[in-house]
Amino acid sequence: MFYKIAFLVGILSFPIQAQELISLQGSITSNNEPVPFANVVVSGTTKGVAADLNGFYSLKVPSKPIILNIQAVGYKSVTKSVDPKEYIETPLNISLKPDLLGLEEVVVSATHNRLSKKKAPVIVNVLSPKLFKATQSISLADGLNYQPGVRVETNCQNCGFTQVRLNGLGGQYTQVLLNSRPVFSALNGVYGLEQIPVSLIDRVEVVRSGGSALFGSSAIAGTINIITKEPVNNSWEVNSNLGLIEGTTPDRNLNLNASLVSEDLTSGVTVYGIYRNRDAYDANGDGFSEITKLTNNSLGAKAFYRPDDNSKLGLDLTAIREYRRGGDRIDLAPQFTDITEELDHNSIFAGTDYEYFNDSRTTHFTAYASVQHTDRDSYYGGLGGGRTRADSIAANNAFGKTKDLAFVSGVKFTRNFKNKDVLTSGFEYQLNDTEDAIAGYNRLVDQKVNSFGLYSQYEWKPLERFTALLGARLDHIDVNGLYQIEDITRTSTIAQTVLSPRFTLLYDFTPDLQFRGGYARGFRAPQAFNEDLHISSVGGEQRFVILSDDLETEFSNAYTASLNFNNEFNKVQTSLLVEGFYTTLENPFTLVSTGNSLPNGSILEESRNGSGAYVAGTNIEFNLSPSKALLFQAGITWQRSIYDEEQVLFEANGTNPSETDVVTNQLVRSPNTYGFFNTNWTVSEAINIDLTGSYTGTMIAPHVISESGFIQLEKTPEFMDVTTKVTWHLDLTKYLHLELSGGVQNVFNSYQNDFDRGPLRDSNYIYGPNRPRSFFFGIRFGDF
Amino acid sequence: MMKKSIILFLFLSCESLAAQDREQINWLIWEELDSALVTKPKKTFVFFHADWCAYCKKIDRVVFTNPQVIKKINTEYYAVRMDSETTDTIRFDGQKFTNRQALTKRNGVHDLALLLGSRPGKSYSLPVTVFFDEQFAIKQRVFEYYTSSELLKILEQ
Repeated sequence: MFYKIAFLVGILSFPIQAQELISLQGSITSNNEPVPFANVVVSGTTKGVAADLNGFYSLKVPSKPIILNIQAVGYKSVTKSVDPKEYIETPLNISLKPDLLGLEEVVVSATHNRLSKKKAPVIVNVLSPKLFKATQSISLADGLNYQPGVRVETNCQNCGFTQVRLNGLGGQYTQVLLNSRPVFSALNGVYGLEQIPVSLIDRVEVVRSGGSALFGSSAIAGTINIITKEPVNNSWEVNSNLGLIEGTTPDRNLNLNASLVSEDLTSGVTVYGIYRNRDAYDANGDGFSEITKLTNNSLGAKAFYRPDDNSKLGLDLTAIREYRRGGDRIDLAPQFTDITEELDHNSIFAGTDYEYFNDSRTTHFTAYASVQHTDRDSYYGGLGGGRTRADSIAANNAFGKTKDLAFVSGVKFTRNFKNKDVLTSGFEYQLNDTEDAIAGYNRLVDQKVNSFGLYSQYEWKPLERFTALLGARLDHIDVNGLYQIEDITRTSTIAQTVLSPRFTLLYDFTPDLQFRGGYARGFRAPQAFNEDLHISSVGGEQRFVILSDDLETEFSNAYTASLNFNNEFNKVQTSLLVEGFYTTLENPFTLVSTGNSLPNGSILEESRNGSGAYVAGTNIEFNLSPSKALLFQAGITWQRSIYDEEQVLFEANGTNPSETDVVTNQLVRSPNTYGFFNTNWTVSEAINIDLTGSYTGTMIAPHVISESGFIQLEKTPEFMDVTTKVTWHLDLTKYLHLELSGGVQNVFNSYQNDFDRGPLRDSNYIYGPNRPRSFFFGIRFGDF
Repeated sequence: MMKKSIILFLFLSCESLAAQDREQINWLIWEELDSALVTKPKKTFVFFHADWCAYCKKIDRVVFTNPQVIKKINTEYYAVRMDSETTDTIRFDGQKFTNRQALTKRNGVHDLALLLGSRPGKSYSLPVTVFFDEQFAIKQRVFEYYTSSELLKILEQ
C-alpha cells in the first residue's frame, strides 16, 4: 500500500533546474532490516523520492553538497550532509532508529476500546437502544423479550410486578447489574426493571447461565448488565411519547437528557429527567385494573472526571419517585375500595467509582461503592367485596411502611499478561437491610443480609484457538431475618460460607465456527427475595408469603454448550447460534399455598425447600443481514422444566373433600416454547420501518378458584405479540434533528381473555403479553 | 432545576446555531488541492472522519470551530476533510482512487484514506489527521483525539 505514498511524493516533487546530475542510490535499513517506503528528501528543495519495498532508493541530485532528510513512519528522522560526488560509485546506505516514543506508539483512542464479542468465552447477547426503540419500549422491562431464552412477564394485575425469566427460571435466579455492579436490592428487584428509562441505556448485555466467577452466586439463570451511556459530545434531546392502550387508556411520557463534555475530555456530565403517567387499564370491564396506574418522576446526573490519562472518577446520583396503584375505584382513597394495591416509592441512588490503568494498560484497577435508599408507603388491602364493620376496620389498617437500604462496595483488579492470559480478582461487600411493616396484619419483614464475596478468575490462552476461563468465588453470607404475619413468626439466622467453582471454554474450529462450554455452581441462602415481599389479593383477602421453618440453602448446577457460526460473505452477514443448557436445582425455594390458613382468612404461601428440579433446553438464534439497510433476527427456545418428584403447590386442610393437594411435576409459568423475531428496514435516510414480535407458547399457570385458596392448574393458550413502527428522521440543521414515529403494539391483539372478575379475583392470574393492542406516537428532537 | 436545565439547553442550541455563521475552515476537496499545490505550494492538513466516529464529531465541533485554529489553518495550510467511507471516485495527482473495500465490505474504507491513514500491524482507526509539509511529504500523523491547543502546537511545527 505504501508504494503509493512513494508514488505520490515522487510525482509531487517538482524537478529543479538540472545542472549536472548525479544518481544517488542505496538502501535504508534499521537493525539490518530494510525499512520500506522511507522518504528521502533534499533539504531546502522539493526534490525527493521514496524507497521501495526493500528499502532501496535512487535519486538524482546536483553535484554540489546537499543535506538529505530521511523520514519513515515509526522511525526517528535522520538529517545527513552529503557530497554526492563521493557516492558516484558507492551506495549511500542509511540506517534508521525506531522511534519508540513517537507517533506509532500513541494509544489508539477510546473508540477502539471494544471487546470483540467473538473472543469472549461466554456468549454475550447485546441489546442496543435501536432494539428498544423498535419495540417502543419505554422501560427496560419491555425490551428484554427480544433475546433468546429471555422472557419478561407481568405477575400482578394490581401492582404490575414484572420479572425477567432467563432460560425459564424465575427472576430471583437472575442477577441484574447496573454498569457491572449489583446495586439492585431485593426490593428493587420487584419493581426496579420498570424504573430504568431506556434513554439512559447504551446497551444491555445478557449472559445466560452463570458463566463467570465475577457474577454473583445467585446468578444461576444468568446476568443482565445494564450499561449506561458514556458521552463524548455535547448533546441534548427531548422526547415524548403517547401510547393508547386498546386505543383509549393513555400512557404519557416525557424524557429529557443532555450531556456536556469538556474539550479535553477530562470532565463531563449527563443530566436526565423522566416523567411518566399511565392510567389504569381494565380489560374486561369489571371495574378492576388489569394494567396498573403508574406515575414515575426521576431525576439524575452522572458525571466523570479524568485527573490524568490513566484514571477516571465517576459519580452518579438518581432520585426516583414512583407511584403505582391498581384495583378498583382508583379515584377513591384506598380504604373505601374493594381492592387496592398502592405503592409510593421514594428512592435515591448514589454511586461512585474509580478506575486506574497503568501506563502500558496491562493492569486495571477498579473500586466502587453505591448506596440505595428507598422509603415506601404501601397499601395492600380493601373491603374485599364486603361492607361490614370488620371489613372496614381491616381496610383501614392495611397501610404499610417500608424502608430499604442497600450498600455495595468492591474492588476489582485485572492483570493482562504478555502471553495474553488475564487474571481478574476482586472482593465485594453487600449489605441489604429491609424493613417492611403493615401493622394491621401484624406483618413484618425485618431482614438484614451481609454478604462478602471473594473471587478470582484466570483466562488461560494456551493455544491460539483455545481459551479457558477458570474461576471460583468464595461467598460468606450472614442472614438475620424476622418474618411475621398474624400469629406466625419465623426467623432466619444463617452464617454460611460457600465455594462456587465456575469455568468456561472456547474453542475456534475455524474463525467462523466456535464451540463454547461451561459449568457454574451457585447457591441462595434462605431469605426473603423479591417475590416474597410482594403481596397480592385473592378471594377478597390478601395473600402473604412467609419463609418456612428450617429452610435450607438452595444449590444449583448449570451446564451449557453452544456452537456459534458467523459468516460474512461480501456484505451479507449471517450468524447462527445453537445452545444447549441444563440446570439442576437442589432444594429450590418453592412457594406452597397452605390455603386460607391465617386467622383472618387470608391465604398464606410458604417458601419451602421443594423437590429437586431441572430445566433443560435449546436456544437457537439466527441473524441475517443482506445489507446495511436490512436486518433480520429470530430466536426460539425449546425447554423442559421438571421437578424430580411431584411437587405440592397447594396443601389441602381436609375440610372440603373435593379439595385435595395439588401436585405437579412441571415448573409453573414456564412455557416449553417461546421466541422472538425482529426486522429492521432502513427504507431511506429519513424512513425506518421495524417489525418485531414475540411468541409465548402454552404453559401451566396456577389459578385460585375458591375462597379457601384451592388452585387449579390452567393450561394457557399461545400468544404472538407483534409490533410495527415507522420512524421519520429529519435533519433540520447539523445541530438539530427531528424524529417522528408511530405504530401499533400487539397488532393482532393477542392478549389474555380469561381474567377473573370482581373483588374476589385472583390478581396473580395474569400471563402472556403485557398489553392488548395499543397505538403510539412519538416525537424526539435535539442534537443527538 | 429542570427549568434551569431547559434554559441551558436552549441557550446551548442557539449558540450551536449561531456557530454556523461564524468563520469556518476553508475546506478544499482533493481535486482543488491538486491544482492549488501546483499553483502555490503550502503545508497541507488532512482530516479523515466517519459518521459513526464520536471523537471525529467532537473535533469537528469543538476544535475546528476554535477561531485560533481556523485562522492558523486558513493562513498557513491547505485543508482537506474526507469521509473515510465515501464511495466517490477521487482524482488526485493524476491518479484515480476508489473505495474498493466498499464493494465487498460494510463500512469499507476508501483507498485514499487507507493509503494515508494505515499503520503496520494495526487496523485502520479513526480519527486520522495527516500533516504534510510544503513538498507534500508526510510530516506527522495523529491517530487520536486532540484539543485546540494540542492541534495548534502541531500546526506550529
